[in-house]
Amino acid sequence: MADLSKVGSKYAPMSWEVERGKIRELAKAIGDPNPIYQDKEAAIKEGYKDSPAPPTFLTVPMMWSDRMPTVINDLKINFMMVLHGEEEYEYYQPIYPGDVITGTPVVAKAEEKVSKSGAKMDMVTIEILYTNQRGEKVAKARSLLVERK
Amino acid sequence: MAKNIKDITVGESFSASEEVDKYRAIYYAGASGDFNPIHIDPEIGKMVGLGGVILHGLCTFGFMTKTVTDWAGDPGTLKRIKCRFARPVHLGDTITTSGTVSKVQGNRVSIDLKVMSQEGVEVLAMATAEVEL
Repeated sequence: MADLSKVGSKYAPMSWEVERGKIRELAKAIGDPNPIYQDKEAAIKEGYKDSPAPPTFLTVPMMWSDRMPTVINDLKINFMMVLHGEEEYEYYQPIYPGDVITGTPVVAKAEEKVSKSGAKMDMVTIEILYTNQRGEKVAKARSLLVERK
Repeated sequence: MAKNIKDITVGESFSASEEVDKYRAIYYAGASGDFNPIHIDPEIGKMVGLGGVILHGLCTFGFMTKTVTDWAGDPGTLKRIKCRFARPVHLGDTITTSGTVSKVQGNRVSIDLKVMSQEGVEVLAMATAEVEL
Protein backbone atom coordinates (compact mmCIF):
# COMPACT_ATOMS: atom_id res chain seq x y z
CA MET A 1 0.00 0.00 0.00
CA ALA A 2 1.48 3.32 -1.04
CA ASP A 3 2.47 5.76 1.68
CA LEU A 4 0.11 8.62 0.76
CA SER A 5 1.71 10.95 3.30
CA LYS A 6 4.72 11.32 0.96
CA VAL A 7 3.05 14.01 -1.20
CA GLY A 8 5.57 16.78 -1.78
CA SER A 9 8.57 14.55 -1.00
CA LYS A 10 11.65 15.21 -3.10
CA TYR A 11 14.28 12.60 -3.88
CA ALA A 12 18.00 12.99 -4.46
CA PRO A 13 18.64 14.35 -7.95
CA MET A 14 19.98 11.94 -10.56
CA SER A 15 22.55 13.06 -13.08
CA TRP A 16 23.12 11.36 -16.39
CA GLU A 17 25.61 11.98 -19.17
CA VAL A 18 23.88 11.45 -22.52
CA GLU A 19 25.76 9.02 -24.77
CA ARG A 20 25.56 9.05 -28.56
CA GLY A 21 25.27 5.25 -28.65
CA LYS A 22 22.22 5.29 -26.35
CA ILE A 23 20.49 7.81 -28.63
CA ARG A 24 21.07 5.48 -31.61
CA GLU A 25 19.95 2.43 -29.65
CA LEU A 26 16.70 3.95 -28.41
CA ALA A 27 15.78 5.24 -31.89
CA LYS A 28 16.38 1.74 -33.30
CA ALA A 29 14.40 0.06 -30.51
CA ILE A 30 11.29 2.12 -31.29
CA GLY A 31 11.84 1.58 -35.03
CA ASP A 32 12.47 5.25 -35.80
CA PRO A 33 14.53 5.43 -39.02
CA ASN A 34 15.02 9.22 -38.91
CA PRO A 35 18.72 9.65 -39.86
CA ILE A 36 19.22 12.59 -37.46
CA TYR A 37 19.43 10.11 -34.56
CA GLN A 38 22.12 8.00 -36.25
CA ASP A 39 24.20 10.57 -38.10
CA LYS A 40 25.49 13.88 -36.76
CA GLU A 41 25.80 15.38 -40.27
CA ALA A 42 22.16 14.55 -41.08
CA ALA A 43 21.14 16.29 -37.85
CA ILE A 44 23.22 19.38 -38.66
CA LYS A 45 21.53 19.60 -42.09
CA GLU A 46 18.18 19.71 -40.25
CA GLY A 47 19.36 22.61 -38.08
CA TYR A 48 20.53 20.73 -34.97
CA LYS A 49 24.03 21.07 -33.55
CA ASP A 50 24.35 17.28 -33.15
CA SER A 51 22.11 14.18 -33.09
CA PRO A 52 19.27 15.06 -30.67
CA ALA A 53 17.86 12.52 -28.22
CA PRO A 54 14.48 11.15 -29.43
CA PRO A 55 11.52 12.56 -27.45
CA THR A 56 11.03 9.39 -25.40
CA PHE A 57 14.72 9.21 -24.44
CA LEU A 58 13.96 10.35 -20.86
CA THR A 59 13.10 6.78 -19.94
CA VAL A 60 16.82 5.89 -20.35
CA PRO A 61 18.26 7.88 -17.38
CA MET A 62 15.19 7.00 -15.35
CA MET A 63 15.67 3.24 -15.77
CA TRP A 64 19.46 2.92 -16.03
CA SER A 65 20.02 5.10 -12.95
CA ASP A 66 17.73 2.80 -10.90
CA ARG A 67 15.95 5.92 -9.67
CA MET A 68 12.40 4.65 -10.25
CA PRO A 69 12.87 1.50 -8.10
CA THR A 70 14.30 3.72 -5.31
CA VAL A 71 11.25 5.97 -5.40
CA ILE A 72 8.86 2.99 -5.54
CA ASN A 73 10.53 1.38 -2.51
CA ASP A 74 10.48 4.57 -0.49
CA LEU A 75 6.77 4.99 -1.24
CA LYS A 76 6.25 1.42 0.02
CA ILE A 77 4.56 0.47 -3.25
CA ASN A 78 4.41 -3.28 -3.95
CA PHE A 79 6.51 -3.70 -7.10
CA MET A 80 4.50 -6.72 -8.31
CA MET A 81 1.22 -4.79 -8.10
CA VAL A 82 2.29 -1.54 -9.72
CA LEU A 83 1.19 -0.50 -13.20
CA HIS A 84 2.44 2.42 -15.24
CA GLY A 85 -0.88 4.25 -15.61
CA GLU A 86 -0.07 7.39 -17.58
CA GLU A 87 2.92 9.29 -18.92
CA GLU A 88 3.31 12.87 -20.05
CA TYR A 89 6.35 14.69 -21.42
CA GLU A 90 6.88 18.40 -21.96
CA TYR A 91 9.86 19.57 -24.01
CA TYR A 92 11.71 22.88 -23.71
CA GLN A 93 14.90 22.32 -25.73
CA PRO A 94 16.92 19.54 -27.40
CA ILE A 95 19.12 17.09 -25.48
CA TYR A 96 22.46 16.32 -27.17
CA PRO A 97 25.27 13.77 -26.75
CA GLY A 98 27.59 14.89 -23.95
CA ASP A 99 24.88 16.82 -22.14
CA VAL A 100 24.64 16.07 -18.44
CA ILE A 101 21.00 16.12 -17.49
CA THR A 102 19.82 16.25 -13.91
CA GLY A 103 16.35 15.43 -12.64
CA THR A 104 14.81 15.62 -9.20
CA PRO A 105 11.82 13.29 -8.67
CA VAL A 106 8.97 14.88 -6.70
CA VAL A 107 5.77 13.20 -5.47
CA ALA A 108 3.25 15.60 -7.00
CA LYS A 109 0.08 13.75 -6.00
CA ALA A 110 -0.87 10.63 -4.03
CA GLU A 111 -4.43 9.50 -3.46
CA GLU A 112 -6.62 6.44 -3.12
CA LYS A 113 -9.24 5.83 -5.79
CA VAL A 114 -11.99 3.29 -6.18
CA SER A 115 -12.57 1.90 -9.68
CA LYS A 116 -16.04 1.38 -11.20
CA SER A 117 -15.81 -2.28 -10.22
CA GLY A 118 -15.11 -1.29 -6.59
CA ALA A 119 -11.41 -2.18 -6.57
CA LYS A 120 -9.22 0.14 -4.48
CA MET A 121 -6.07 1.59 -5.99
CA ASP A 122 -3.40 4.04 -4.90
CA MET A 123 -2.54 6.60 -7.57
CA VAL A 124 0.84 8.30 -7.24
CA THR A 125 2.09 10.99 -9.63
CA ILE A 126 5.86 11.49 -9.88
CA GLU A 127 7.16 14.64 -11.62
CA ILE A 128 10.72 15.13 -12.78
CA LEU A 129 12.01 18.42 -14.16
CA TYR A 130 15.19 17.83 -16.16
CA THR A 131 17.87 20.49 -16.51
CA ASN A 132 21.14 20.39 -18.46
CA GLN A 133 24.72 21.22 -17.40
CA ARG A 134 24.01 24.93 -17.98
CA GLY A 135 21.06 24.81 -15.59
CA GLU A 136 18.57 25.25 -18.45
CA LYS A 137 15.23 23.42 -18.35
CA VAL A 138 15.15 20.73 -21.06
CA ALA A 139 12.06 18.64 -20.28
CA LYS A 140 9.53 17.59 -17.71
CA ALA A 141 8.18 14.05 -17.19
CA ARG A 142 5.02 13.21 -15.29
CA SER A 143 4.35 9.53 -14.50
CA LEU A 144 1.24 8.12 -12.88
CA LEU A 145 1.85 4.90 -10.99
CA VAL A 146 -1.16 2.77 -10.08
CA GLU A 147 -0.86 0.27 -7.26
CA ARG A 148 -3.58 -2.37 -7.21
CA LYS A 149 -4.56 -3.38 -3.68
CA MET B 1 11.98 19.77 -42.46
CA ALA B 2 9.14 20.93 -40.27
CA LYS B 3 5.76 21.54 -41.88
CA ASN B 4 4.60 25.12 -42.40
CA ILE B 5 1.87 26.18 -39.95
CA LYS B 6 0.02 27.80 -42.88
CA ASP B 7 -0.49 24.37 -44.44
CA ILE B 8 -2.18 22.87 -41.36
CA THR B 9 -5.96 22.62 -41.15
CA VAL B 10 -8.14 21.54 -38.25
CA GLY B 11 -9.51 18.06 -38.95
CA GLU B 12 -6.62 16.87 -41.10
CA SER B 13 -5.37 13.44 -40.16
CA PHE B 14 -2.46 11.05 -40.53
CA SER B 15 -1.56 7.53 -39.46
CA ALA B 16 1.25 4.96 -39.38
CA SER B 17 1.61 1.34 -38.29
CA GLU B 18 4.37 -0.55 -36.56
CA GLU B 19 4.73 -4.30 -36.25
CA VAL B 20 5.89 -5.59 -32.88
CA ASP B 21 8.37 -8.22 -34.04
CA LYS B 22 9.38 -11.17 -31.88
CA TYR B 23 12.51 -9.52 -30.43
CA ARG B 24 11.21 -5.96 -30.06
CA ALA B 25 10.76 -6.09 -26.28
CA ILE B 26 14.34 -7.37 -25.90
CA TYR B 27 15.75 -4.53 -28.00
CA TYR B 28 13.71 -2.02 -26.03
CA ALA B 29 14.77 -3.53 -22.68
CA GLY B 30 18.44 -3.14 -23.64
CA ALA B 31 18.02 0.40 -24.92
CA SER B 32 15.84 1.70 -22.09
CA GLY B 33 17.25 -0.32 -19.18
CA ASP B 34 13.79 -1.66 -18.26
CA PHE B 35 14.46 -5.37 -17.70
CA ASN B 36 11.21 -6.14 -15.84
CA PRO B 37 10.81 -9.91 -16.50
CA ILE B 38 7.23 -9.43 -17.78
CA HIS B 39 8.85 -7.89 -20.88
CA ILE B 40 11.47 -10.56 -21.54
CA ASP B 41 10.45 -13.87 -19.97
CA PRO B 42 7.33 -15.55 -21.47
CA GLU B 43 7.06 -17.91 -18.46
CA ILE B 44 6.81 -14.99 -16.02
CA GLY B 45 4.36 -13.25 -18.33
CA LYS B 46 2.11 -16.34 -18.26
CA MET B 47 2.49 -16.75 -14.50
CA VAL B 48 1.20 -13.23 -13.77
CA GLY B 49 -1.73 -13.69 -16.16
CA LEU B 50 -0.52 -11.63 -19.13
CA GLY B 51 -0.45 -14.57 -21.54
CA GLY B 52 3.26 -14.22 -22.31
CA VAL B 53 5.61 -11.31 -22.86
CA ILE B 54 4.09 -7.85 -23.13
CA LEU B 55 5.77 -4.87 -24.78
CA HIS B 56 6.95 -1.94 -22.64
CA GLY B 57 4.25 0.75 -22.55
CA LEU B 58 6.88 3.38 -23.29
CA CYS B 59 7.91 1.52 -26.46
CA THR B 60 4.33 1.80 -27.73
CA PHE B 61 4.49 5.44 -26.59
CA GLY B 62 7.63 5.68 -28.76
CA PHE B 63 5.70 4.40 -31.82
CA MET B 64 3.01 7.02 -31.17
CA THR B 65 5.59 9.79 -30.75
CA LYS B 66 7.40 8.83 -33.95
CA THR B 67 4.12 8.98 -35.89
CA VAL B 68 3.58 12.55 -34.67
CA THR B 69 7.16 13.73 -35.30
CA ASP B 70 7.23 12.11 -38.79
CA TRP B 71 4.03 13.97 -39.65
CA ALA B 72 5.35 17.26 -38.23
CA GLY B 73 8.62 16.73 -40.14
CA ASP B 74 10.94 17.52 -37.21
CA PRO B 75 11.02 15.96 -33.71
CA GLY B 76 12.15 19.32 -32.28
CA THR B 77 8.65 20.69 -32.93
CA LEU B 78 7.13 18.38 -30.28
CA LYS B 79 6.26 20.32 -27.12
CA ARG B 80 4.02 17.95 -25.21
CA ILE B 81 2.72 14.38 -25.51
CA LYS B 82 0.80 12.15 -23.15
CA CYS B 83 -1.32 9.04 -22.86
CA ARG B 84 -2.90 6.50 -20.54
CA PHE B 85 -1.58 2.93 -20.83
CA ALA B 86 -4.90 1.18 -21.38
CA ARG B 87 -4.22 -2.38 -22.58
CA PRO B 88 -1.12 -4.59 -22.95
CA VAL B 89 0.58 -4.96 -26.32
CA HIS B 90 1.84 -8.43 -27.24
CA LEU B 91 4.60 -9.59 -29.55
CA GLY B 92 3.21 -10.05 -33.07
CA ASP B 93 0.69 -7.21 -32.68
CA THR B 94 0.53 -4.42 -35.25
CA ILE B 95 0.00 -1.03 -33.65
CA THR B 96 -1.59 1.78 -35.63
CA THR B 97 -1.39 5.38 -34.47
CA SER B 98 -3.86 7.85 -36.01
CA GLY B 99 -3.68 11.56 -35.36
CA THR B 100 -6.22 14.31 -36.04
CA VAL B 101 -5.53 18.02 -35.72
CA SER B 102 -8.01 19.31 -33.13
CA LYS B 103 -6.88 22.93 -32.76
CA VAL B 104 -4.48 25.46 -34.24
CA GLN B 105 -3.63 28.47 -32.09
CA GLY B 106 -0.80 30.74 -33.20
CA ASN B 107 2.06 28.37 -34.00
CA ARG B 108 0.78 25.62 -31.76
CA VAL B 109 -1.07 22.61 -33.16
CA SER B 110 -3.05 20.28 -30.86
CA ILE B 111 -3.47 16.68 -31.99
CA ASP B 112 -5.82 13.94 -30.75
CA LEU B 113 -4.33 10.47 -31.06
CA LYS B 114 -5.79 6.99 -31.28
CA VAL B 115 -3.46 4.03 -30.79
CA MET B 116 -5.03 0.68 -31.66
CA SER B 117 -3.99 -2.95 -32.12
CA GLN B 118 -4.88 -4.97 -35.22
CA GLU B 119 -7.91 -6.26 -33.27
CA GLY B 120 -9.25 -2.75 -32.79
CA VAL B 121 -8.29 -2.62 -29.10
CA GLU B 122 -7.33 0.85 -27.89
CA VAL B 123 -3.92 0.14 -26.29
CA LEU B 124 -3.11 3.77 -25.41
CA ALA B 125 -6.02 5.99 -24.39
CA MET B 126 -6.59 9.72 -23.86
CA ALA B 127 -3.54 10.37 -26.02
CA THR B 128 -2.81 13.93 -27.15
CA ALA B 129 0.18 15.88 -28.45
CA GLU B 130 1.11 19.49 -29.15
CA VAL B 131 3.63 20.62 -31.73
CA GLU B 132 4.91 24.11 -32.47
CA LEU B 133 5.49 24.84 -36.16
